[in-house]
Amino acid sequence: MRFNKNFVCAIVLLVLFQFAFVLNANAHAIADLSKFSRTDVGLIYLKLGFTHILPLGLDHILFVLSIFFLNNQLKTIIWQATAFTVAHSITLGLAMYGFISPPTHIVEPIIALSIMFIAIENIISEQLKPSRIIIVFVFGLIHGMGFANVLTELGLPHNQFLTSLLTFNLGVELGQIAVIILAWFLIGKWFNKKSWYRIRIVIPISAIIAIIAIYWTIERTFFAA
Amino acid sequence: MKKYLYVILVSITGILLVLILLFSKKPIKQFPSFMERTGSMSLTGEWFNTKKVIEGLLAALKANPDDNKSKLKLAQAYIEEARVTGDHGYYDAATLDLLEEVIKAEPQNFEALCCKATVLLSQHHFAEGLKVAQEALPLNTSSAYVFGLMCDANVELGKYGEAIKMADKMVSLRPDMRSYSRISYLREIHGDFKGSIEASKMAVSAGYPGLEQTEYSRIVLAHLYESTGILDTAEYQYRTALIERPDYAYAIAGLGRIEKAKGNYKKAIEHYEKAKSIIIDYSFSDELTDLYFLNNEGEKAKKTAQEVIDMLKPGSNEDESSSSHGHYADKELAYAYLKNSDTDNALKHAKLEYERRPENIDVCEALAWVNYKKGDFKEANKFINNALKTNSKNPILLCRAGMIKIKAGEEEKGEKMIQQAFEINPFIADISIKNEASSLTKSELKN
Repeated sequence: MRFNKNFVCAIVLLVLFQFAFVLNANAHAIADLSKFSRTDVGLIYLKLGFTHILPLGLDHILFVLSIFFLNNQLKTIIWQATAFTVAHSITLGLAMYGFISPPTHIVEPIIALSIMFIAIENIISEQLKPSRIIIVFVFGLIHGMGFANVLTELGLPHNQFLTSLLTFNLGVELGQIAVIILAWFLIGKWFNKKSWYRIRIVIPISAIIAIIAIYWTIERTFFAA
Repeated sequence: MKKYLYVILVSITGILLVLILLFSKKPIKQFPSFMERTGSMSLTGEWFNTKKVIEGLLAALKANPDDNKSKLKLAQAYIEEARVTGDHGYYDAATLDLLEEVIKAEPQNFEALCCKATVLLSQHHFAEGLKVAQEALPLNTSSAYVFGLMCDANVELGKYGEAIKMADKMVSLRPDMRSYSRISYLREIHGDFKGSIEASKMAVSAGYPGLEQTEYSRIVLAHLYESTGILDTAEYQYRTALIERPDYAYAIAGLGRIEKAKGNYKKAIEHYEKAKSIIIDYSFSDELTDLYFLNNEGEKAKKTAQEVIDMLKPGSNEDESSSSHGHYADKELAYAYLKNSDTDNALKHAKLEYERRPENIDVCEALAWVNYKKGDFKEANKFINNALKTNSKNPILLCRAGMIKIKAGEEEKGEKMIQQAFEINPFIADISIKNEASSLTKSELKN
């Protein structure tokens, strides 16, 4: 029950934040969805946001999993996830309204680097440090720029800009929540109290994530098409 | 130990971050390339030159991806290529991508805005096209081209008074093929066939023979002759277009229509099949549907009728109101569904188009005709009155209007209209409309 409440709070916080942030901005659109109703546009972008995490956003999935694995308390996971959400909402909003224009070729390798950092931190640190939430927040800002690049490519309809931005972000959130819930029910719920949880699960998985992230960092920096 | 590891982690991350900032390169921008022409169109000298120009522009953009002049020229070349090949699906999207980049960098670029409006109009996004043209106008009020765009958009949105004003401004600034063509069309839809033919002749004379635009103007002229029953002159114009521009699909299709009007269905089918093999245009398949029916080739007709719907329908079932290549094609879909006897879908699409542009006479005609086919004569009469508001003397419109009036209880008015249609063009190529109209009138018209 407590688990659900926290998630609802996180979503409400995010939506309120987005509203407060974007109400007065101007924007232009690429796609023409003018004949769609607000509900249809909302559903399309909600789906796009969700599928950008599950199943398409492997890098974001690994980041969320890395956040998940260092903790065995859902409350802490929620706090980190909320910090991540608020952070990526800020840069996503700023980028979509044209205040910043993050270069994809810089943002994408840094996203990979952020995953590497969190995964290795999971290996070398047994306990969560207070600084972790700040680190997650900073990396959330970077991930938001990545979402913005995707959303720019997809395009936002002129007349439903705010709706599509909010629902895309909400879709991303739901995707992240889905990843956490899946990880919780598949692994955390059953094993996180076991004495071998860290040695047999957290460290090996974090090591795999770190290797993948290092590979991505190098590939995206030196070998991007 | 742990603290030491943490410092190493932060250091490595820092080093990698610096490497990213130093070595991560901006990806090489890929610009949309051209599609190789096929068949006889690929053998012309014009294609050889066009290809060379496009390749040059692509090379320039590869060297300097921020070269907006080259981007704009490439967009213009693709607009032309879409016209010539009918491949609007590829070229319209490619052109819009290029133009968006130019406009983003130079929001006041008059030519880029005009090109964008041109593509939007070609995609039947008329309100959006008009908006972009209006944005462009203050940047160059002495350009005839922008008035032409506004004229087209206003015509399609049914704002005919405004369209006439724009055409007048256009012709006063630059009396050329484009402005004469607009005047011709406006005269035609206001019932002045004589004046329309006169302006259309001027348009053809003002163009350079053999160029696609000139020959398209000649096709329009030929069609005007056809609509007024002067088939031999129409045929002469189509043949001239074919001499000036060999294998020009619209000229071949024109000859097909002439054969159809004469009752030579087999020959007509040959012409349309040839035209269809040259360029992509749903209207060729649409005409073939009728011709196969008339030639007692029912199976082929059904197949082609479905093909028309598939061409106009979007790839995604979620969005049935725009065609797969970004066009709003609901009016055309309404007629296509009617041919498939699917009146429910026909009504759905006719209404969608009507919501977008309720003042346009062609849209009102389509909605009226769908209602007529559904047996709702009162509703049909309401819309056909709107379709007749410019006093157009298009024989097909008059036939449809006549039939609707008769069924709605205005027999005298209806018969008069059908009679007028047959007087203007005794050789109406749409045989089913012609027969249907004849069967509804008194015996004197049946002969």
